[in-house]
Amino acid sequence: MSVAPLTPLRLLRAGLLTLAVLMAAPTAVHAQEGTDGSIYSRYGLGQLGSFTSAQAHAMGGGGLALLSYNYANTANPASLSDQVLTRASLGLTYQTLEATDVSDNLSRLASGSLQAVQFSFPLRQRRLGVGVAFKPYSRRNYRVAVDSELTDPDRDEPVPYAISYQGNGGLQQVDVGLGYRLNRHLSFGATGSFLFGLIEDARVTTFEDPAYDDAIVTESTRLSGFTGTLGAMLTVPRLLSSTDLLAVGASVMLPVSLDGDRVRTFGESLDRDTLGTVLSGSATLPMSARLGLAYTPNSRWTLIADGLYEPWSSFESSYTFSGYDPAGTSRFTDRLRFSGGAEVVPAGDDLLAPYLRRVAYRIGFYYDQAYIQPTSSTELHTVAGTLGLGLPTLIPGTRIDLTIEVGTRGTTERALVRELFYSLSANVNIGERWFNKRKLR
Amino acid sequence: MRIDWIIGALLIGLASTLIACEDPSNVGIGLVGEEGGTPFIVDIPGATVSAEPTHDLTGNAARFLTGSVFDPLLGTTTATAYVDFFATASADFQASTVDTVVLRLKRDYLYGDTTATITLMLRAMPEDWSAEDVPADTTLEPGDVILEGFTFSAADTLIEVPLPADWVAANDEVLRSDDFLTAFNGFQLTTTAGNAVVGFNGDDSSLLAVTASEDTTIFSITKNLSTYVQQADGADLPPDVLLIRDGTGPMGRLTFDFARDSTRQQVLNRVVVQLPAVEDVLAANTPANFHRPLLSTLNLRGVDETSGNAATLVSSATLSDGVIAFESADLRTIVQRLLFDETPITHFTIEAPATDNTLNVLLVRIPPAEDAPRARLTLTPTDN
Repeated sequence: MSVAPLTPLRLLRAGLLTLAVLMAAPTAVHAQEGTDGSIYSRYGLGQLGSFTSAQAHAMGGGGLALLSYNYANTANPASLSDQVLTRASLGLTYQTLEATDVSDNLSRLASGSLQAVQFSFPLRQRRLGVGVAFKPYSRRNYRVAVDSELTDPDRDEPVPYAISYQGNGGLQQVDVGLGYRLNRHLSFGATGSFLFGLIEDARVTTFEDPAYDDAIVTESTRLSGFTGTLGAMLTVPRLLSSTDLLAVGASVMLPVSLDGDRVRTFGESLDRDTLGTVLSGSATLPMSARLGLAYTPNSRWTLIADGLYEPWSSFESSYTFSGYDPAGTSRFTDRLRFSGGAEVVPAGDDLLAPYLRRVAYRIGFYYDQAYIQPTSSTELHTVAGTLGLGLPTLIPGTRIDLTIEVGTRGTTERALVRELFYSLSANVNIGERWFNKRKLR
Repeated sequence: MRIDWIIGALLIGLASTLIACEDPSNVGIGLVGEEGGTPFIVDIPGATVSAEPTHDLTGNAARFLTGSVFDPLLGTTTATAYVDFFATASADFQASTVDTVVLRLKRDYLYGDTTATITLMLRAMPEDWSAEDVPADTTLEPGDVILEGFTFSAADTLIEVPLPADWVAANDEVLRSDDFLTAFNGFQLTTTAGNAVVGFNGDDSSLLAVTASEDTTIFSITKNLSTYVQQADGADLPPDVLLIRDGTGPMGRLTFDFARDSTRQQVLNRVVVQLPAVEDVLAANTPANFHRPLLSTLNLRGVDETSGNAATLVSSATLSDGVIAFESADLRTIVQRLLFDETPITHFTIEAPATDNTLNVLLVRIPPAEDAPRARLTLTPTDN
């Protein structure tokens, strides 16, 4: 089979098609709103994000030690030192989620969201680089409803109503990082991060009978604060063979104290009235420690393994969150995440090989023990697998990445919910040479 | 094969599987726990229910009232009616001589003895008078007596009163004049006998003039006014009920304690202000053959005493199953603000629509009686 290479026009067409399909899908079905995600995002600050790069995402996430000509790795600021091209990437993801309870009741939800926007460039090639990223730190997007009836003495029949509990918003993260390669083995980096966002929990009581007004009560918590990440990378070439490379990466994101305001309102979004007073408060998020390995036996294969540890049991806040009461018990627990994955590019470095041999084929998995316990001493586990393609284009250094993720979260035991989720992510990753110094010959 | 079309087909296929979704059900509701949001109903009794003096405006209503009635519960009420006419007379009518004039009165209202024989006096009005914005207790000075009395039964629905020949002769030119509207000032109708107040329909009552050449002109009523005098002689109203009455008044004044702990700072889904009618007191004090119409249509107004502003919140609420229920979006808005400690109004008033023009009566119980006026609130808690 002969496959035509991607020309810039075809690249643009495929990219637009990708975005159109993903962006149109959320509006195509009534139920697909920004609040249609995991019920477990109701807890704490929401569901924590773990996106680092499109390449790493398709390999189970993590990728702390990944070094790549084609991708900037903002997970580890030390890896920003190893850049050749100026890069910009935009990723979107679309997820369908099926939630099942112990009675086999099924709820199917879908939502689309931004994965990340990243920009990076080398100040000195393979020596000093800068990276800027915007991505969700956490996401609150649940919606669950219960139907009931009100006995009104004025009515012969009970009045049906529904209470919908909805969450939306989350914390966003803006990173500005700098990486420096000390020598051919060791790199260091640091990232300054600004975390900010609005986390909303709404309770919507709706009536079919127009004689009754709906009641929308929303609790909004606005938080913001600064933190930093320190990272290091050790690269060991020719460990087992003359062509291999082992990289070990580590990073620590420092604990961050977020200041904020919490307000309770009622009414529609543009016509809300404040209930009570605005509560000022804070929340202290724990540090995040990551360790990653990447082994490249040759130019065709890359293997990675990553671990993450966040001691959320030390979380402190003056605010009450689901699963956390400052005056009572906390069901926050330490978060653990392990992932692993592989990438193969059959053509290796051969840029003249047939197209399908230049595609990067990726596979990965991850296990995540969430930082919250939905019920006392019940841990929340997520296990997922990933598959991805990295599609080269005629523009060197520019790729389109497609990733499918399938996973399961939770259990139907102890009145919990088991979630089966599928997601499709598309990431456009553009790389060009900028800031070239002209030389006289 | 073109790679971009392969990618496109792949994406569309994947997206098709992803967008198939259902509405969220209650899967996971157990994880939400006791988060509230369950609406509940609470009845708030009227904090104060009192009488508010009224100056009912009765001009140019659908009907005009005249007569006098002694109600053993309320005392004596005397009504006086004023009517004026206009006509577009034909040239033949104006060229002839008016031979007869008949006052035709279409009765559509009765308060009092249904077997009474009623005698009314008819007087001319000497000057022009206004029916606009005139309080119900206004007194207008009448002119000459046209008829000392004409009599009819309370059961009659159409009363035809031929006017005296000397009055017809004296007013012949005026009746045929192009300046009739300004030259003629109408009649006053007062009672001289009969224990009843009757109401005549303004549209169906008229003055009928016939000339010697048998040309007929109907003079329609162009304006009307009813005024009242209320005397509490022999009234026997129990102290635990409040009288609300059309025409003479009073109207009702209501306040509620919305800022109580169980209601304040809650989201209002629905509010109904309910006025249970006290019918047993009326029934026990109604003599045989005595008709006392119930006030069955009311307006609810919100009044801010501080600013003097007032607005109708509910129009024409009607009596149903012994209760008048006021409900509207405007009322919800006002009560919601009261629940949040704002003071858009200081009290409610209850009054009859001015256009009806009756002497109808409603009795309501005064708190703390169980069947006193109440506000029934459907609320959703704002806390968890």
